[in-house]
Amino acid sequence: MPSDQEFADYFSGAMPVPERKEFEERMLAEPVGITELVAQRRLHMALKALLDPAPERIEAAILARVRGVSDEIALKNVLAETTEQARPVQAVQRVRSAGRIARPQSASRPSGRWWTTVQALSSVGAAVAAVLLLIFGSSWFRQRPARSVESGGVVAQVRDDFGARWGARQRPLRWGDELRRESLVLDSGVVELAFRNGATLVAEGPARLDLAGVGHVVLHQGKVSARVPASAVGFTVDTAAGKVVDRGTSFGVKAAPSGLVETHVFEGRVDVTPDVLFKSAMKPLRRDMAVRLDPQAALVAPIPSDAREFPSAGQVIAEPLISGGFEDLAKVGTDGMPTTSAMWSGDSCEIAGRHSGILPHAGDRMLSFTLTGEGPGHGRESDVWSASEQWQFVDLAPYKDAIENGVTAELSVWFNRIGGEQAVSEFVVVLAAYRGSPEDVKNQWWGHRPEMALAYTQDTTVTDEDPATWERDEVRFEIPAGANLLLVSIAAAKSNPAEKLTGHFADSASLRLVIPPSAAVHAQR
Amino acid sequence: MTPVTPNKTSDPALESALVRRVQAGDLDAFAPLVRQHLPELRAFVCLRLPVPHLADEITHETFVFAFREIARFDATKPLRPWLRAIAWNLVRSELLRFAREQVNLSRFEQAQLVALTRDSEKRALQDETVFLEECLAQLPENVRRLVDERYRLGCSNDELAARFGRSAEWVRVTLFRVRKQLRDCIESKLTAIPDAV
Repeated sequence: MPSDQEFADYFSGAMPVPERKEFEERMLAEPVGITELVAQRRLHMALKALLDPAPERIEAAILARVRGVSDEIALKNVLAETTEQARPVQAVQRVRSAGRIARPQSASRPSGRWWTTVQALSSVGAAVAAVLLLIFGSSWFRQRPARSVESGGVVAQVRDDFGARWGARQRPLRWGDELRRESLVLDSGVVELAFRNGATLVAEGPARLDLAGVGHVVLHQGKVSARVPASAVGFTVDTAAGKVVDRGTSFGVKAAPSGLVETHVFEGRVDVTPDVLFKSAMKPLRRDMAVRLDPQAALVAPIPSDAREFPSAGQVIAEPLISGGFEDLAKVGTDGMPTTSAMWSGDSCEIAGRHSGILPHAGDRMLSFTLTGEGPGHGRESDVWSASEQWQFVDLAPYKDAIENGVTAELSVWFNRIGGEQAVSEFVVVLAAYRGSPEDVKNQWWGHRPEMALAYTQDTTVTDEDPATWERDEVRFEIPAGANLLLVSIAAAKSNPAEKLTGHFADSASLRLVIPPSAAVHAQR
Repeated sequence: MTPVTPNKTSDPALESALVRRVQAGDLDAFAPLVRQHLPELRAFVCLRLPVPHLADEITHETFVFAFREIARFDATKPLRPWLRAIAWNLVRSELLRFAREQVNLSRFEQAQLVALTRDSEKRALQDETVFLEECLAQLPENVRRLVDERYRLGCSNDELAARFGRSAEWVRVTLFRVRKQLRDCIESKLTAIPDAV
């Protein structure tokens, strides 16, 4: 049985890592010792909870949630007294298609029991983890070529995709990819395209369309919906049966294999100009109006407008990363991984302005990686790199209800470095979702970060040697229900540990929480 | 010195009035109820499920559930046992969920789970936080001050060592032994209750 001194050192984190490992191995054979540690943890937490002089944070969160519940109850009461009762309560919960329709909450159960869906973490498992800290090495770098950021000829960017499967001859596209004048074949799923003029187009597969220009799409088949801001008025969707020209609005166009084309206006106005074979004049359509063009009958017929027949755009619900542009910071933390959310901390890094001829990607400041030291893979000589990493935790509690219905986290960071280096340089972005606290991740799960994550993704990019250009890297995943914490990591690494990590920069880090675009609710008529 | 034991004064009539106001739709009346019961309820959950984020979450959900169901609550009765019962049900659900979802439990984890569940079942309706407060009050003055400055003021071990003119090792070991002592004290009070449920 370990001594009180050993227990106390282990429990308080004062025990050096090698001794901790040895202590843990001994504990595995001594259940009595583990019981003691669990008991200590119980008392420690209970004392903190009981004597905490400022539980305002928890109190405020409870009251904020209760206010939401109060509004929800009030809304339900109102609905119960009206004929609207049978209709979906879209003001409360976003109703999604694609098999993920939100279930109404039962009044007899606590709402948002999100912990019941946790997959990878567990309550007792986490408690046990507190006393069973086995450190595994993890070489988690993987290499992928940098994506081009050349802006010439770019007409749009893939803003989001949801279950997208591309045609066999179509280059597979993913979030963040830039599009030029090209044809797209989407077999299934939904993609959202952001045009350079500000227009947004959501396409649902099966669909074939050509990007004919910044404000011009040719729809051969499928369903699209468009939202066009003032900057993009005149946005045009061409079809075989006619032309749809936006006049400041949002609308949907559906082109069936039979040649039928429908245009539905959700807001504002569009002009529909049927092909010459219709011998029909241009039809201005306003909100809630729709028209069907039937080439076989050369008929232009008004029909009921229904937005639910079209895919809907995604919705950015938050951009919770703090100081992603590093503009308002004098420095970042250099004491390792932070133990609280909403702050950058990690290895030795500095906030820099123009440096080594490199200008910040945006604004006046950027992050400069400065550390020289062994990086990931240490322990194997061939893998020794110098690396520098910064982390930020993001508290997901404010988005808990949205996450239950499906939210995607999208992280993008821009990188740059000086040229003329001998060693290979690469940059890494990591996004991980946890159910726990920053302290858990830092102190208890350090060696298990990927394994303890509910979701984990990373990407490595090798930048060019041109200081004038920045390269973007991005990762994303759907936040698992149950996650209450995101970990963002950005790192620079160099294959030669003898070379200093200077002249390596990151900027414009962005994390978006997005309700993905969704398919049409109604089956195609 | 600030007393270790928190102010526990609770006016049943005031609490009952607040509950009635919440039942009548007055949301503002819920805040003082949360303020009154939050520390003890958190401690209650922590003693059963010593996982920080889960403890906070279950505490949170307990109050939300209570708010949703408050129309069914008898306002003439004290709120604390009801909150405790809700919290315990949530803790138990969490433990059972864990048991269901884990296919490959190691023997040790199984043992821990069983121990936690059995232990918690036994004490389900016992408010150990009351015992904890009583046991705290029995600590010698200097030890109480150490606990107070560690947990109420949030002092680190190094800060405490400086304040008490002792080594950091002394602080660590003393706190360890105090927690052990508190646990033994609570256990003795629990076992004094015949067939605690």
